[in-house]
Amino acid sequence: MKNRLRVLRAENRWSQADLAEKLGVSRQAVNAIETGKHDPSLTLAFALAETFGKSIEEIFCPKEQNN
Amino acid sequence: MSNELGKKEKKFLVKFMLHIAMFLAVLALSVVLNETNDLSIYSTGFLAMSPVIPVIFLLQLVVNHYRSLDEYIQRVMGESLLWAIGVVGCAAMAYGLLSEMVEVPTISPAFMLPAIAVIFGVAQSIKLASDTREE
Repeated sequence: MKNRLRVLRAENRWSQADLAEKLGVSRQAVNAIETGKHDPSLTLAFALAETFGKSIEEIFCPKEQNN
Repeated sequence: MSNELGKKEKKFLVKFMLHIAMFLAVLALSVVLNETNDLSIYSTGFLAMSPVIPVIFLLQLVVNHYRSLDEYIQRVMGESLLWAIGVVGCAAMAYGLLSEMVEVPTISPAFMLPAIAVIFGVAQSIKLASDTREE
C-alpha cells in the first residue's frame, strides 16, 4: 500500500522517532510503514490519521491507485 | 514513547538476565546434588529436569514482553521464530536421517532450545537491521 507518511512527516518537521513517540510504537515500525514493508493495522492507521489531522484515505492508497 | 520503550527494554533485559542466572543456578545445583548424593531414581529424575522450571518462567516473561510490543516488532518476532523453528527442525530431521545411514556423533536434544533462541536472535537482528537507519 502506498502512503504519504514521509511527506506529511517532513511537513511537520518530525523525525521518525518523534512520530513513533506520538503513536506509541517503535521507530522501526514507522520506518517499515514509510517504506511500504508493513501495512499498518486499522487501529494504527486511525492513530496516524488522527496524528496528522487527516483521513486515512489522505494518507494511504492502494498501489493500483498510484497518482 | 521512545524513552518509554527504552525503559521497557531495559527492564525486560534485566528480568531476562535474572531468569538466565536462575536457570544456571538451578542447573549447577542439580548437577552438584546428583553427583554428591546417592538419590533415588525419582529424585535423580526430578533434579535432572529441574532446570526446565526457570526456563518455563523465562518463556512466560518473553511471551508477556511480546504482547507489549507494537504490531511490526511482533510480526518480525513471529517471522524470526518461524525461521528458527524451521532451521532447527530441518537440521534435526537431517541429523535423524543421516544417523539412520551412517554413524554420527551424539548430540543432546537439550541443545535444541538454545539453538532455536540463537537462530531467532540472529534472524531478528537481520530483519531489523535495515529498519535502523532513518531515510
